[in-house]
Amino acid sequence: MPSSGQVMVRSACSATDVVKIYGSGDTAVRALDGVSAEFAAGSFTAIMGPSGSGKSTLMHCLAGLDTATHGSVTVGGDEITGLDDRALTNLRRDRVGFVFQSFNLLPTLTAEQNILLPLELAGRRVDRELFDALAGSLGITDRLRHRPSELSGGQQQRVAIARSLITGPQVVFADEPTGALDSRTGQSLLSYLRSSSRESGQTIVMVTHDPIAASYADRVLLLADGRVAGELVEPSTDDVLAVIRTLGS
Amino acid sequence: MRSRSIAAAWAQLRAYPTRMVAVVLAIVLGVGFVAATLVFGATFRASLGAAVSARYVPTDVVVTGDSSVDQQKLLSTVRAVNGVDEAEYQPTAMPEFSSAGARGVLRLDAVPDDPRLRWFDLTSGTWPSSADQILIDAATAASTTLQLGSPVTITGHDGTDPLTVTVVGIADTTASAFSGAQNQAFAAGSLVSKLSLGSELSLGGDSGPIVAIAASGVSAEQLRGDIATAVPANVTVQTSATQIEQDLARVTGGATVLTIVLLGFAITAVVASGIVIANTFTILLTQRRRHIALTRCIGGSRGQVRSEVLAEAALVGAIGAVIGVAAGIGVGVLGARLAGLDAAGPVLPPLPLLFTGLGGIAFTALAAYAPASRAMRIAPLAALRPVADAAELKRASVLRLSVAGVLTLLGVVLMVAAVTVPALLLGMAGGALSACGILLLTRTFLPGALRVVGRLGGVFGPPGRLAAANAHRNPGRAAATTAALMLGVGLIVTLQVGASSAQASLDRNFAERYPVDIAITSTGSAIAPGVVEAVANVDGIRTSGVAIGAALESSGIGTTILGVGEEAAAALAAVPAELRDDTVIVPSHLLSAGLSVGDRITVRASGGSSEFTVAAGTLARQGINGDSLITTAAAIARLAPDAAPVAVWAAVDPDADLATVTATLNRLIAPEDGLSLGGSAPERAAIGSELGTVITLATALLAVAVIIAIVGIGNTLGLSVIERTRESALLRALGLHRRQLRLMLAVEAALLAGVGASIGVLAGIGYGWVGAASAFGQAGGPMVLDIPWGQLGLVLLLAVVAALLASVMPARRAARATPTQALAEV
Repeated sequence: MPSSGQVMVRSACSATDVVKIYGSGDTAVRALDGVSAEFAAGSFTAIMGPSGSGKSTLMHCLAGLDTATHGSVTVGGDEITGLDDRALTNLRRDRVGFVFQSFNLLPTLTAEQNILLPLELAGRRVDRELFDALAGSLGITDRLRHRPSELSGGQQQRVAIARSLITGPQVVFADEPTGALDSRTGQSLLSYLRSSSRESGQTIVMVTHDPIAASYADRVLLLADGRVAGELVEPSTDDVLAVIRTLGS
Repeated sequence: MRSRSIAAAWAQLRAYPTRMVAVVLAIVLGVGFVAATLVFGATFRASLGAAVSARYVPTDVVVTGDSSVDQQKLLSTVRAVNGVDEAEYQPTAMPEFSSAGARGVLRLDAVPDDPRLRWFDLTSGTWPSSADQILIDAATAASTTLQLGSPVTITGHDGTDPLTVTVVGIADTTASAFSGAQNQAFAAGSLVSKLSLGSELSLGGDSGPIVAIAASGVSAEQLRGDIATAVPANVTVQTSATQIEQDLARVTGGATVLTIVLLGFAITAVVASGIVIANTFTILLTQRRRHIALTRCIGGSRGQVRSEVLAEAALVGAIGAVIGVAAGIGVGVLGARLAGLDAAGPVLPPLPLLFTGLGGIAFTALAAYAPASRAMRIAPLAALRPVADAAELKRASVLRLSVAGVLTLLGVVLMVAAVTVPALLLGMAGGALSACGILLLTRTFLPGALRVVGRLGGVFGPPGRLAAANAHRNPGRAAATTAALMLGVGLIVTLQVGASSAQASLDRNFAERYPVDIAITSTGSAIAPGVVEAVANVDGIRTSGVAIGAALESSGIGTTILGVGEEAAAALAAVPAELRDDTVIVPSHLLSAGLSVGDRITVRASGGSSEFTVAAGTLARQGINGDSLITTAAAIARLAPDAAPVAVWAAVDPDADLATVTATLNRLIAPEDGLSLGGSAPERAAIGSELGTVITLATALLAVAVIIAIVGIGNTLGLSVIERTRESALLRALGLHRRQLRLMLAVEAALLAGVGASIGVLAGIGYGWVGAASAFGQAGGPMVLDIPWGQLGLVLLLAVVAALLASVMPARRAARATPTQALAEV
């Protein structure tokens, strides 16, 4: 949280003129065509756009899951563009958290083991207080010993969120986190994300196509055809819908 | 419909050729093994036949008379028959021989005088031109170190003086069935018939047939009739063709037995490949769930789904069968050549080979039947509703458990009976039944075993723990994967434990029968000091000493006395308490009503007389020195100062190679007259080498089944990697390094193979013990259980290493995928 009197806002992650090209020659696809964006620490940003706009690709590049063809990406102020696979893997382990739409958890591990997995991979000690607090606030304390097949969709996503937060990452990336959930469960999840950002200062970048989900964010970044097409601050659902309609045409 | 299935199957195969590689490999190995066995057996049989019939090939009629017949008179009779171009008597004799480098028994056959009747050629030298010249065959030349020009002393059995003959030629008898098994020589008929007089040759009591060639224009059958009328009734006359057939039938029974035994091993390999095929299809169809469901959605019937799978199986089976039969033929021909059993050339039995190929196709379809039936029951809805992971049916099939339980129980009961009765057949039946039961129960106990052993995976950190969790997530699949390995390893270990125990039991048997490892005894004169020293210096002899002997002038019992020297006593496994200066050990058969243990007797020899107490003991019972009384050398020294060494007793180093030591000693004593080699070591050497060869061969054959099983493990791993692509991607996204992912898969493979092989080892020890106990019990000897831990550990290690190697390719493929590729919404 920025201290009083200072307007210095650190950037949790940023992209500068990022270009991502798949394939080569005639079949080359420019998924990202020079995207620049900055995500302030403690912000909750939603990236929206029609299919093929490159929103997932942008997230992958920001998170170190994929490497940009041109341009630069930073996480926590550090340049990650030139890093090799080992370094990127370590980055994902220690400084970044993930929530996907589905298939977030390893079916052979219990909920608790899934949550603690990134710590185990990093060889770090478990902060039991943090763990209990997370589990409590997400309401999954009594489901910790169960396997994913024994959990409902909403519970699985909450376990995934707990896992993404347990390492205290600089950014949490969520790719359509509520896509497979019913509206009530989805909205309770989004509320949690929002409060996590507002009260705990967790930076969250969420990719979504759902305007209702986008309305939970502080800022909505719009992408179309691999380029930034617009930005909305503190949008309502209607604002988002209006802009999307123009993008689609 | 059928052609559509085949077209679809072909398309599927072209699209994903690598997925079927393991299945094809398993079929090739299984079918190939059977084909190789058939070719090997047929070639062997033909070669035996050629060897047995070789001598009759140039002839037309064979005349055999029994021992009461005067062969020379019979020969004249036959020669006088109209239509006989030439007839000769071909006797065989088995005299003893000795030369500079070897001694033993010689099989001496007559060399036909008429060159037309000669059925072999010479590789060097000339044909014998007089009665003091012989030929030997190449194998005999090699083992006896005889060469052209070597003199050989031959002694017949009728007490005549020994003859000295010279080797003048080496015969090429590669077609001989006995080449290598005995020392083979040829000489002029006159010499052979002289030596065969007074010998007791079996073969119906005669010492050889009379063979005849028909004159031109006369058929064999016609000649047979003519001769038959001319000879007395107790003489058998047959055409050579008939004779060859008869001899063939008698001899090739052994080849058929060998073929059957080999087929037994082949069946093990086939069972292993069946398991791999079924497992592979199960996994493949699970992965193709959505496609199959889609087919059902758009109108495909259940039957069509199944036919498509079976068509795929048949196609793959056909490919594997063709390659397998071809490979098997190659291996069979090569094997027969290497074993020296292909004298008649390679024989490829067309019909059996064709059936083997067709059988391979049918077997593949059969193995795929159960997975195919399961596939056709996939609901169309599965295409629309993504099923994240097939929920594992936790409830164990009651039917499977009860059948398995019954089989296991029955098997155990039979095995207990086999040990108590005792009867080996019961043991084998019990073993087979309980093995089936255990294999069926695998799915139940394997997850528990994997969980326990999986804790070891923690040694490797997070990847190891993940691997442990993965290994037992799908008990059905884990069980199916390791079943083949358990079978193969179990059989190998059973064999090794059985053989090891057999060897140990025989050793114990020999130790009881012979108190000393090596006993060189002289039947006549004293043993030269040079020989005694040479024996002591032989590599592998731990300690040796002499026993001196003397004639007794009177004792009331035996006629000779043996004095065991201190060093000779040291060579005994256990020095009996009865071996003392004041005691004489008497052979038990000399003890009688008048003489018993504890009596005092007076013994008189050239140097005086002494009093001894009579004792009985195992030393005298072994017949080491005939009817000699036995006491210490010190006691005899005074009694008979002229006593000379008549025996050398030696103990062999425990680590020494018995065969080498025995051969060295044999070579050492060969030039000396009247020396013979006895004791437990030569017997153990003979049995040990035979046993060793058989076991090595059997293990190699079973190894084929194990190889198939390892291929199966690698295959399962490869396919499940494809299945777990998203999981692997998730792990990579969460921060698992490539190297750690590869490690995870390696640990998984090692875990499966390690647990499977361990269970196989444990089961094998049990079965091996039952086998040895029942076999020895039936034969009536003492059974010593010897578990060759070193060998078993090696088998376990090899299984794990092989599985690790099999996991390398799938692991690399898994690690190559990038996180995003796999996480993309497909």
